[in-house]
Amino acid sequence: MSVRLLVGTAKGGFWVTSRDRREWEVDGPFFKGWKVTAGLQLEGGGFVVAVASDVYGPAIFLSPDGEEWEQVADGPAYPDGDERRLRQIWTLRENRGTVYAGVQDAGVFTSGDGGRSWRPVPGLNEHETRGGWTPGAGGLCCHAFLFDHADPNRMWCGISAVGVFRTDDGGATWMPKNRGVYWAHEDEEFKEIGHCVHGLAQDPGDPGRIYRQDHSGMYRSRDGGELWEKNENGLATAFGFPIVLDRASRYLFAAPLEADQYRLPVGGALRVVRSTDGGDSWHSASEGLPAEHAYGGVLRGAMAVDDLQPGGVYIGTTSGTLHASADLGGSWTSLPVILPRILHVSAWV
Amino acid sequence: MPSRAPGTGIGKPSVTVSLPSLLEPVTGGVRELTVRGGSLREVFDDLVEREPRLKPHLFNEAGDFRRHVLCFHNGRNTRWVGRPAAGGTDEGEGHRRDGWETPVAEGDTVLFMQAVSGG
Repeated sequence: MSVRLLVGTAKGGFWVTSRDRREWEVDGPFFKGWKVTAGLQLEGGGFVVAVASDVYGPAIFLSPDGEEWEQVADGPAYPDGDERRLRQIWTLRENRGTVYAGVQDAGVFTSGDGGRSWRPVPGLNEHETRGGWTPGAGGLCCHAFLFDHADPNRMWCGISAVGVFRTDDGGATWMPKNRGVYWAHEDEEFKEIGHCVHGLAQDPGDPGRIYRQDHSGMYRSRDGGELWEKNENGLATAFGFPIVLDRASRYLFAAPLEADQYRLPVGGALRVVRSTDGGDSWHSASEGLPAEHAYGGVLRGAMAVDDLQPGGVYIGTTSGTLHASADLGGSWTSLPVILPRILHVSAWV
Repeated sequence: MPSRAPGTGIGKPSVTVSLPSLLEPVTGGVRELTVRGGSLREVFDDLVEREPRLKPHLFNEAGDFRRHVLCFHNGRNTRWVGRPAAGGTDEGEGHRRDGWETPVAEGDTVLFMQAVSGG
């Protein structure tokens, strides 16, 4: 079955496609000169892509086919005169017909019409702890969503360097859920924030079982985020940004880096780690990845799975290299491309 | 930020607005537009009325030009029109509307560029 990757870079987007996950074709760049920061294939068809420019700011474009694009006129926006700025859209997700955008400066916007018009989520964007929200090195951004497929009113979001929030009432109110996670910085007033979540993944059979790549290490919660426990058995370094889960095997994948002032692959070896037992233990799954003189890291949005069987795993690096595994990380192929800094990878079949 | 009732540019001087190539995806490939207004502010109003998708790319939430957006009226940086460098914000944006009441004439040009700073 063919696979289509959206590779978002600092200088445009690329389509990378394959019929057999061995031979790949690269098409692009589109949105040349723009950062392509997030992408979504709508369940009803069509694509939503977020772009940003250091000069001209962010925007959302829609396309029925991935070729012809139109910018939406009513995109996510803070009110005129607001001191917050919409700097970048970090993630796009769809759940039960609603499209969610996580943005910087941190906030959540939703669309009920496939991305054409957007409205803020005041329960989160005006949260009582907002005064204590402090940006991480990547900015004050909402970059992750999880949804409870059994409970339409429950979802989670991750904000750097604030923490994980959960709503149990469809987004009206949100509660910080970070107990057990080390602080990135302690807020004097709001003790439940100041946690720098980097990435989130979720067990498809048990929505309350959540995996968290955090600035302070690797965590797991078995109860929807009420309590987090470290699960770093086998990790030489527990710092990193992305964490993804293959739905069929429930294998977890992450890309560790030397913490945290360096943020480089350890020893110049690009590595992926895998857990085949729900986070109880981690092992290297790096055969075929560059093993020396490789100093490009993997950003939080630049790892994806395709949910085929066996599952494909894809990583893009800050050096612009792109790597694919068609066997759940058992072996890797480096694609013959050097792209701009890779910010985002999505995989669709 | 520009905002006004639709149609108020009718009968006002016609001005040519040029856009940088990076904004082509926003306008569907259009780089040059003819708009109307009696002042720079009215020109900006008419521009974002005709191409509302340009508004968030040229102006920030406070209503100023984005930090690295430059605007030239007949070749002169609008930043230096009127009363320059007064009351700037920490991002250096607050003063940039001071010259927006400058009158414009038929055939004037407005050119948007991005600031080139650093390398």
